[in-house]
Amino acid sequence: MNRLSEIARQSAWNRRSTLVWVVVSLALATALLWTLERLRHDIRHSFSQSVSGVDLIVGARSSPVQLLLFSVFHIGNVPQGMSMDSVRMLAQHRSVSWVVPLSLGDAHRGFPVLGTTAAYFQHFAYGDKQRLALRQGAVFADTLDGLYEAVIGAEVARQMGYDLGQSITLSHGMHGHADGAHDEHADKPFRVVGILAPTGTPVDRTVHVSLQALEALHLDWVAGTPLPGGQIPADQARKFKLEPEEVTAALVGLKTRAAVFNVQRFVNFHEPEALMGVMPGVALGELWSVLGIGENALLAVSGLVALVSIVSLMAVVLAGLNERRRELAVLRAVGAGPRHVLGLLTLEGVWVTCAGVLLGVLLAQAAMALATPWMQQALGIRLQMAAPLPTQLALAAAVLLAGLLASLGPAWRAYRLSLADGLSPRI
Amino acid sequence: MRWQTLAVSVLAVLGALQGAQAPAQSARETARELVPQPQPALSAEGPPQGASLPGQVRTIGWEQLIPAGWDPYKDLKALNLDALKDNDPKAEEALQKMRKMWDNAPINPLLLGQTVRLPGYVVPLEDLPEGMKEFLLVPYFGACIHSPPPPANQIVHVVLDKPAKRLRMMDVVWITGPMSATKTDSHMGVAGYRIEARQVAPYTDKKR
Amino acid sequence: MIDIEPLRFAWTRGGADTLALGRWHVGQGQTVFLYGPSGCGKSTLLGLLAGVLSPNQGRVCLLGQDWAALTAGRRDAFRADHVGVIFQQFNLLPYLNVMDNVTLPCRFSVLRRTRCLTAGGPEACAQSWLQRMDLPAGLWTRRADALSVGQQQRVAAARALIGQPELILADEPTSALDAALRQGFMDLLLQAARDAGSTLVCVSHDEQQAARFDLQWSLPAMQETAARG
Repeated sequence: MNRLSEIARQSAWNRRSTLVWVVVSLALATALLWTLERLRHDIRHSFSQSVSGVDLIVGARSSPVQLLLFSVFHIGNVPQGMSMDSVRMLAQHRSVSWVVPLSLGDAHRGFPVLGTTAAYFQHFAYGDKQRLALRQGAVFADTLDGLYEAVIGAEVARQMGYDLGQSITLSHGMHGHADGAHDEHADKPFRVVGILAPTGTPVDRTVHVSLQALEALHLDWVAGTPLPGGQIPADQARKFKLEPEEVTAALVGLKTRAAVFNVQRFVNFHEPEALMGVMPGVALGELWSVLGIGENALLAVSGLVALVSIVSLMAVVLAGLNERRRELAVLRAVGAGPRHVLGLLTLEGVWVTCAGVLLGVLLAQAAMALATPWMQQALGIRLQMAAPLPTQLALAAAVLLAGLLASLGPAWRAYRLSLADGLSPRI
Repeated sequence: MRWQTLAVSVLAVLGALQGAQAPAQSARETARELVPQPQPALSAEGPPQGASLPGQVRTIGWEQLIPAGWDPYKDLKALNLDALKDNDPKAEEALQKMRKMWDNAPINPLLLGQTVRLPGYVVPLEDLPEGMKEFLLVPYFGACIHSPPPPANQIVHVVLDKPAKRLRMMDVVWITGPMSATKTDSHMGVAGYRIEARQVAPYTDKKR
Repeated sequence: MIDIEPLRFAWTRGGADTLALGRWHVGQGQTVFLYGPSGCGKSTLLGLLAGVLSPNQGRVCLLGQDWAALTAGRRDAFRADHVGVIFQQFNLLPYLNVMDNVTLPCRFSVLRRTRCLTAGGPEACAQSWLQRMDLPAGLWTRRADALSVGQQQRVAAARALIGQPELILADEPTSALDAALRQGFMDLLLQAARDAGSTLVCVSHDEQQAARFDLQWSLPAMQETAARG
């Protein structure tokens, strides 16, 4: 059939001015499906490997998914913090092995700042219980001498070109404007003392400082703005009490994982404060079911778009058939049978669909390549586009198959026409 | 209010203890109910507690995880609930005692080392892109949401060597693997059950 | 070579007969000029001769083979092997070049392709026919729709002749040409058919061309004879 395929290709190319629009619409549909599938996969991949070995995340009572997203992914917000007293009390529970408090709220050039203890670097894990590793330098000292020290993630270092010893200033508010000068804690710069190895998680885009350092920053601030005339210089901050009263959340590890229900209950029923304990695995499951609804809706819409393109292919080819009756008569005259005519038109449709799908894949890859830096920055999700997923290929194949089937319709009509016309088409 | 909670909790675990007498149900029906109910197909069959041929996989039910002679309900049974008033402190006291016993529920040492096959509900712990590697297996639906937590000997910490791709929270599964005890601080708390599962399969009513 | 038993053909079932003919025979290598006014059924007869149409009564045989005895697929193959067709105009696929157009029949007929092998293959064969048709080599790679009507008709003739099919059917091949070119085209066609040893049946309403053909038949006269007899 390859001689027919060659004729089909040239025939389609000849009518490219009309067919190009069909190719474009097929390309858009394919691009949508391709991108959607990649996003689905990579978002799940990113999210599900961002935290490991943590039995409970404890915070003020709100929504479990909200607490998970904020404490691990630094996305969104929580309505309220939890008291340091509760953190201490948690640490004393007989089943608890370790507690790491977290404090969020500041940013550095759009990167979230996490206030925590040195224990964070010992206990926090991602992926399959992988610990954090330092590529350069050391963890902040967690002492009053090394107060303004920061440990930055790999992505922060790469994007900003930071190295050890770099001086950075933090700004108030998570969704920091890169140059919100009046928000900046310009009087208290930090020094980068450690750079973490890449993890492929939100850790990469986070700046880590000690809890005391965050307290020091906000000593002379009240309700989000600096006290006029009440400036406390950096080195004087040490003279004040720098233990925080309140933190955003706490990560908890237990001695026995099966004890998680008891500790969760203990947290939920803790009288002095309305707290909740969230199991990361369970909260992720809730996140998936919410995301799943959205994903399915988007997939359905993309499928419809593909269907519309396929139908337009059929319409365009059918509409052009009348003009091609002479062409079909010529083919019959040189010895092509009606089956050849059927094959020819089907192959034309396949060529057009192929062109559309290929163009769509290229468009999608290009668009995602452009969006990768933003996704990494804003959501901590790394898009891995190097190798196509089997599901992506399956979707592309489905579009091709649909195009093939859709071409059969006009091809059949052409077949009937050429049978009826014989050697003398009626035009 | 308090003794209603008491009644529900008692029902829950008494039901687990007397599994054989509950009516037969399909896995789907079980999953839909929010009142904890056991799967009666899981009742003890075959050799009694403790006896098993080496190398053989033994299908067990949750009641076999409770060692003989452990009865946290001694005090409760002794109480005459009908005679109590609402908010009677004795009821509260009995409840607390029972809860404490649950927290300290011992494991059945006779099961250790045996390869068992046990059905239950999944509560995820470690979920990776490749699949779920660690989860807790509990005897009833909603163990982490509504009800008080199960006793320590009614929770199994399951670790998979190969991540399971399609597991979701509250899926009902059969797990097969050797039963062991989790290590714990000698002077704090009690040991729990742990299974390094070779096989995870969706739950069906059939035996195999 | 061509045998027609008494046949009847109507375009619609139960409608008036478009054609009613008696026995008819054409020998190998003869050139036939078929004429008659427009609408008398000349193109229909060509369709019957090519096996594209089937008679309601009677038979049409080519080289001893009754068209109706073949299945549809076999008919197409038989036609590809033994029949070359030239239309009045629009003979070529506009998006292929001249060379590709001329070699088209060889793509669909193994027999004709084999016959070309002795001359060095379909391409070489095409070149010699194009030369015979007075088409300079510079045109051979041009797109078919870039040629004038006269040039296109000559390419169509080359295409009909490649691989030496036994029967050439021409449906008003000169009607679209300027008067000055008609004579020249007919000369070329007749000579080429004789060289190839093919039977040529040419339909036209231009009776001036009739003289050079071996046989001249008026279709209305043939129909009258059949009606009477």
